[in-house]
Amino acid sequence: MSDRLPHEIITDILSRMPGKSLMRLRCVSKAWCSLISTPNFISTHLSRSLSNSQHQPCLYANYGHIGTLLMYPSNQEIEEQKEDFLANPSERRELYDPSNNEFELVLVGSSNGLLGLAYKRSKLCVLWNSSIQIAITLPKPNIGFDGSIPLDHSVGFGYDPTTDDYKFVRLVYSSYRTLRPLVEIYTLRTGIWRSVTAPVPPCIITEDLSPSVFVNGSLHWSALRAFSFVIMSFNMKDEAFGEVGMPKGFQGPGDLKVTVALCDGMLALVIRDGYDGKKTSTTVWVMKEYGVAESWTKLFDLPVGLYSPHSKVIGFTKSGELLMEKGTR
Amino acid sequence: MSSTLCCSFAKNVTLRSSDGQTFEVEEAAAQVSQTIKRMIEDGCTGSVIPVPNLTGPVLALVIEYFKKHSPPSDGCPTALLEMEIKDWDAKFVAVDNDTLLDLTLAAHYLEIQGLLDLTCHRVADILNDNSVEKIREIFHIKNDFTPEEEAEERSKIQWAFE
Repeated sequence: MSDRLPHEIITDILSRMPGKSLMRLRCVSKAWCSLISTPNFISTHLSRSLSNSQHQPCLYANYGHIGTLLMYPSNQEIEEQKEDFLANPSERRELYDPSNNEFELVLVGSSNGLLGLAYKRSKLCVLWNSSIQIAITLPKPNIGFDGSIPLDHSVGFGYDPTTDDYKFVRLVYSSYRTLRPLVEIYTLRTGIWRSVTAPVPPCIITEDLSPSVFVNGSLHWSALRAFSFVIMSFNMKDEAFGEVGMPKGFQGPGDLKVTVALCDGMLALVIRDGYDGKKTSTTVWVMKEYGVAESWTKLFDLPVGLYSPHSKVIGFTKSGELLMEKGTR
Repeated sequence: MSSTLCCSFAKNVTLRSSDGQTFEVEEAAAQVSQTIKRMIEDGCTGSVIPVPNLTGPVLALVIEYFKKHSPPSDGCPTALLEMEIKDWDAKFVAVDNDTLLDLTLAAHYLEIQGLLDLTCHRVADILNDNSVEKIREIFHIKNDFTPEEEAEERSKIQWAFE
């Protein structure tokens, strides 16, 4: 690695570098390049940058259908723009994996600047470190890769502080979603997928690769239970499923689309109504106190419905502003 | 006479570098190094403590660091003293690159966390400020990329060079 310094000192030094410099240093030598790309190093670098107060919180969003992510610094004022977006993304990253010739990469979750992504078609998952701009394609999951039956999957990504580990959770459904899903977990530390036998509540995540939100140690997805919308949760530490109550008086399902979101560290819900006319609306709720259904508070009530041109909620800025996509997609 | 007063007499230890130079230093100061601290606790104080990984000039520098960073005999360090030490630290690592690497290694071998943080931070600054070519030179790193491989690696992360 170097004639002078042992591996562990080089690791120590490099883990103190900002992401951009680190990327430049990949060109120093093959050994430096491979060191900077190991999961262990990425994890060390991440915990160092998180303890640094200069860390900038960012908001990421999928853009269109190709593997492009937009990044917004969520602590800055956002200017209004006439183009596709209300906001002016500070950076735009085309994410692609040259070994994998497909671009339908979906953002499934994020935690501490690490992003969980999944390919729509190949079902492969990708871990992306936003600060050092490195993507790692995870090994093939175990379930549903024999090609015998068409399967849908939902993937969540989050952090387990008790083991200081990042986990991908994958629920695999048969295409008609008639059976309970099979569940498997990938942890960054073990580097393998393993099955989870925890009982899954009779909830169905209706959308392939529906977004998940990581709050309070658990992953959350919007799901259907019989004919009602529910929020299904999965605790990262106990590896157990649960449910979080919906806002009181919420009536579903109708022609609604319900997605989970994160607003200032709190679980949020975006409910988009498909009816035209007076009732067309998008409401945004936030759960002020985690796990307390009474604490759901309505933040926004917007006159845009599911089929309106401006309807997709991207996320929230740190000051609580709502970001929405402008174009029709 | 109280026993506390008895213990305040400074006890010295002798350290010997790889090239046979010996240095006498207060035991409390030398214990800034976890490695030396363990050796003292294991009863090595009677004889000379060998420090085979460090040459005389480097050991002399490390001993300067020991003296500056030995715990004050009169209890809590003041804010003023802390600031002064910080200034001193900055000057201490403002040395040529080879000496800096020697000090980094010394801090690693002797387990001096404060010095390791200080030198690693300084090395990180140097890495930040220099070109890839210059970094290879400073750290004596052989470029094992073929020109094609390096061009490819650079094109992947062009934005980092902007």
